[in-house]
Amino acid sequence: MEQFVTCFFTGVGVFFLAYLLLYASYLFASVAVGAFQLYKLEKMSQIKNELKHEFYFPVSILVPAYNEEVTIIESVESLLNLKYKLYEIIVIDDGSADRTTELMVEHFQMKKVSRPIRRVVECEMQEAVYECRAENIKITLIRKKNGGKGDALNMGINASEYPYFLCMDADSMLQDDSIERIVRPVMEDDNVVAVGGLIRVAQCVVMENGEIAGYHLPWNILLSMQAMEYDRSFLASRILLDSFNGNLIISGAFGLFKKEVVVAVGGYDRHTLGEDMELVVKLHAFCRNNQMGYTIRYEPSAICWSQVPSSFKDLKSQRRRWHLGLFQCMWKYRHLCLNSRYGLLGTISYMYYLLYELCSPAIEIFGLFTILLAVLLGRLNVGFMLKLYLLYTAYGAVLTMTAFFQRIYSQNVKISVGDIVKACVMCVAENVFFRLVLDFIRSTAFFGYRKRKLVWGKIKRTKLEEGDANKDSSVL
Amino acid sequence: MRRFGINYMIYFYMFICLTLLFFNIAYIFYQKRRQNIQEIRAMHWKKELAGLWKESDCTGQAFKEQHEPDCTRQAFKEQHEPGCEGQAFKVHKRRLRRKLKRIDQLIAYNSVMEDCLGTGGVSDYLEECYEDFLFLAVEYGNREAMERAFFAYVISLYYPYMGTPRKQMVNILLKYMDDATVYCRENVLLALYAIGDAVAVEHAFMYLDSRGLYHSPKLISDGLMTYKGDKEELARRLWSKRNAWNESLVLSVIQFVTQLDADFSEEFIGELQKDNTSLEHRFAYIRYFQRHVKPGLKGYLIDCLKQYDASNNSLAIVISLALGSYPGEDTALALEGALQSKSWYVRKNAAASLLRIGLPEDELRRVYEASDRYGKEILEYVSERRFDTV
Repeated sequence: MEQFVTCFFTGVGVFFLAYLLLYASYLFASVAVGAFQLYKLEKMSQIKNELKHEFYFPVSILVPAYNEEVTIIESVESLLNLKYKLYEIIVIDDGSADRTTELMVEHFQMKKVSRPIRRVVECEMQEAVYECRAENIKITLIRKKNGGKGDALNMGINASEYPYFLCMDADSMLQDDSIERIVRPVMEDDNVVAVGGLIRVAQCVVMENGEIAGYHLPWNILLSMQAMEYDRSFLASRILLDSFNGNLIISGAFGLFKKEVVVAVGGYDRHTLGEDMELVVKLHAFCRNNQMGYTIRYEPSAICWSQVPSSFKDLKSQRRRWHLGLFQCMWKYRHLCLNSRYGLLGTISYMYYLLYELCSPAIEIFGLFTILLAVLLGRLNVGFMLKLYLLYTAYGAVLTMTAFFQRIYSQNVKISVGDIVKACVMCVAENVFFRLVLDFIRSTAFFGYRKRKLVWGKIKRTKLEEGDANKDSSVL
Repeated sequence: MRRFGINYMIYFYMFICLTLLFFNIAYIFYQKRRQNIQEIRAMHWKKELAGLWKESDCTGQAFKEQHEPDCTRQAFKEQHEPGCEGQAFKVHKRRLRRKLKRIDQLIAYNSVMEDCLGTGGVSDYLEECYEDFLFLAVEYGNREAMERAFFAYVISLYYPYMGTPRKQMVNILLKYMDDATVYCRENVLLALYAIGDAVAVEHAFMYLDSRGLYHSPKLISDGLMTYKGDKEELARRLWSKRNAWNESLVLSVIQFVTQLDADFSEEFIGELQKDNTSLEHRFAYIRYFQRHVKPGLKGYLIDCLKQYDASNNSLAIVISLALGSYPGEDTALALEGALQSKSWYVRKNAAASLLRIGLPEDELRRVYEASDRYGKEILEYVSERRFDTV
């Protein structure tokens, strides 16, 4: 018995050390590669190493909206301020119970048209189609039966007129040069089938006519910690995975896709909570199975400011959905796992999401259980455990800080000294507390899975007010 | 031992991350300082250039505001008569060669020059400095692709086509394309278009073709529109090489020609009617004939619409749209038939074209009544959009 217990604890110890070391190495590699890439991009931009062009190609912007009466007008208005030359906006009201459609029709003076829509990908039927032109940009509003976000996006694909479409959330705002920047990878390489942009927290920014008028970290701790988390994850893993065409996710809040290829794979999956990830993994699988030359890119200079949950309840709802979506996608494409046909995608990318995203709550709970067991059996080396925990937390905090400052310099954002201090505190808090909160949410995500596996949950939206972000006088 | 190993590893990572963090913070300050230094450098160049044009007040905005009246051809010539100013100019030229080897100095210099470009005096000044820029072009030829790209960008601004041949410069720029990034290639192409040397553009395309390098057809065709020389002559030269180049390059040339007023109908009709012409090229030719109407081609397009609607929908889609530029009873009849097509897009384009050819209202109503459900739907929608006054 004694020997079994010793073997068990030794095994668990080795597993966790290997697990943490691998994670630390991955994080380090991703932050280092991310920092280098951003530095290079900034230098290139300074010396005109970019495909600056008068006109690229037309793009259809798809905005699925479900009960978005609070934000929809502001979002569409922000889309009308883009510098891009030729695009159309398609808002898909996915059977909202609020006044989303009415507000759109009233505000933009839209006219009902009898437009037939060819269904190249599956979706629910439209109930009404409205059209208008604002600032010489065609806006289409499609009111349809509720079918979920994937279904709404499929309707948008069906109604879109241009060869590339850009999906975004109704509560997000684009910078005026965002589309121009997200289409550039397509101009560089004909094999690019999808491009993901950088998502940042909208509650931190004040936008005026598509440009950043100010940036500050909000006093809401949850928002500030999410801002740190977004900066780290979009700097860290995405750029590293991009270096070997291994990104498995393009955020549904901002992504550009080649319509022809998306139609070929059947569009978005309507029966999953993670339709954005599912589409990207499906594109990878499709292109590799058909031996097509293809690239899925991440463009960190194309920025979308998206609202994040400001209350614990909303955060729980969002993260539960993300985790279940991740599970559904990983399960559906389990054949990618360590499959040599998929190269680094099946090994590094898939295994990262499996071990460090999907299974991490279970692994961490198992770790806590082992600690408790060790305490009970008097086998815990408290000093070593605390030291390792502190070191690891400090390591995580330093990485997050690195990512945050990287963003500051690469985007020429001015922030106050107060915000710098706040950012440093939040980096630590994010690693000490927020991580635990997320682990708890993800651990409980599967409760009631059978009944609620396609339930999105509601998130309260807030209207983004314009204001002065630079209230502090001392700015860096 | 194991604990020591783990500690050691984490300390190592921690050290690297702290280094990264400090690098970032230091870089923010460096960037700020660099920006100031660049502004000072730009100010020096402004003063120096203003001195050449005998400016009394050489500071910042004053230079910008004042340089224009004095940057006339006459003023420049007067100052470069033998004497003190001529000597100053020689010193300036030496400084150009010495200082502009550094990319930061070139950026600062260019920031000043970009504000002055377009005036007569500046053109003369740049003409006088041509030899120095040739010298610098050779220097930058040995630099990394990023810097070569910037120098090519600078040349595209400074030496637009003025009727002067610039063989040496274009030869050096063509060499920039070796081991270049897509940005460097694009900037070199833009410089060649600006210089207006058709032979050099042809050589650049040959280079792209021979190395199998992808350069977006959209970038090429739009870039060609910025060509400063005789566009038609360039188009004919590039067209003559069509059999030697890959499909993507030829497509760019066809798209470029489509945007010109030049008449390539004879050449394009011949290509369009060949059996082995690729689908992409056919699309491009048909789009050309949509824009450049050749009445003699109407019958051919109508026949193609009928033929391809059954066999090749994608061609029928383009033809049904192009026929909107060829009004007539026979066109109306063909489009009416296309309204019953199996392809949704053919129906949609046929409906749009029926309206574009100006079919009388009663005739339109007859077509509507004669159409099937899908034809009616699309015709109704397209008609609604026609009267959309928003």
